[in-house]
Amino acid sequence: MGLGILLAIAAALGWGAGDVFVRRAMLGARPETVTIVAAGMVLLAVAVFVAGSSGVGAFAAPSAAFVGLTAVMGLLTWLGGNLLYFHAMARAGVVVVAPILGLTPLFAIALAVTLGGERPSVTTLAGTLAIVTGVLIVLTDRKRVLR
Amino acid sequence: MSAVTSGIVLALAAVLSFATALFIGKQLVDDGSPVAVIAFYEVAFGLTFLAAARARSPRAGLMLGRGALGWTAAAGLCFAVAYTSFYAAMSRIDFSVGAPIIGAVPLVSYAFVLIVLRGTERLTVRSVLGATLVVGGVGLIGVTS
Repeated sequence: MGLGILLAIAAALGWGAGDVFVRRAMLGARPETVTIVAAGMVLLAVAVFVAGSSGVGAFAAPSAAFVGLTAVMGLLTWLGGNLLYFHAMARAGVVVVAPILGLTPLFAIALAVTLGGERPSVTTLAGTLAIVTGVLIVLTDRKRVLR
Repeated sequence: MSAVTSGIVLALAAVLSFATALFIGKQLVDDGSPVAVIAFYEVAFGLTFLAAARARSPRAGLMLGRGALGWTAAAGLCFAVAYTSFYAAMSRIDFSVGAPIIGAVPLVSYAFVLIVLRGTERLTVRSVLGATLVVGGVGLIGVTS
């Protein structure tokens, strides 16, 4: 098995376990606190990764537009994304909320189609149908997963 | 609105945010910016915004009990490993190979729910079936992207 696949498996394990640990932590902490600590640790790790793989020169921002767009991404991913996602987990539980995150590629595809002019393939549409059906099935049991 | 319903609404709002950020990120990658550098700036700005929002709402205390501190640190460590492994993986394999593996996150979470949240949440046949369909769908889209 290639190193790349092992790293992808490590990423899936990290995100999957991390979500559950966040939920466990939020039994005694606020989502804001957990999000800030997680963001700080991720920032440190990514900084070490960038410095190690590309050198410190890689931190130089290419342009003002790049800085502006990554700022918007930071707002969307951490305040609008992770913080809301953690609040959602605190209310509805990991079992209900984790599969909903699978809808992310659908919205990304919808944006690519409407704003980017891309055309989805038949397999993409089949994947879309599977995701929506899966989420709907999970939601039918939403009141039974919390003890 | 019940807590579960409000949680579902918040999750959908989070999905919209993630998807929009992904769309912007894809434009930057297409322009030739390295993914890991984009991620560094994104997280740095995200942390800044989180800290600013926290400073504006002093009632939201940052205190952590000992148990919560351990789980928070474990979560942060897992996410740190996940992010760096993901970027390292993407420099070695095609996205179409990596995406289906990353898409399995809900089922990985379910496995950890059985261990860590046994007294808090329960897995049902329908939730496992639904999550499996989601993972399959994400894999299908990833393979063809």
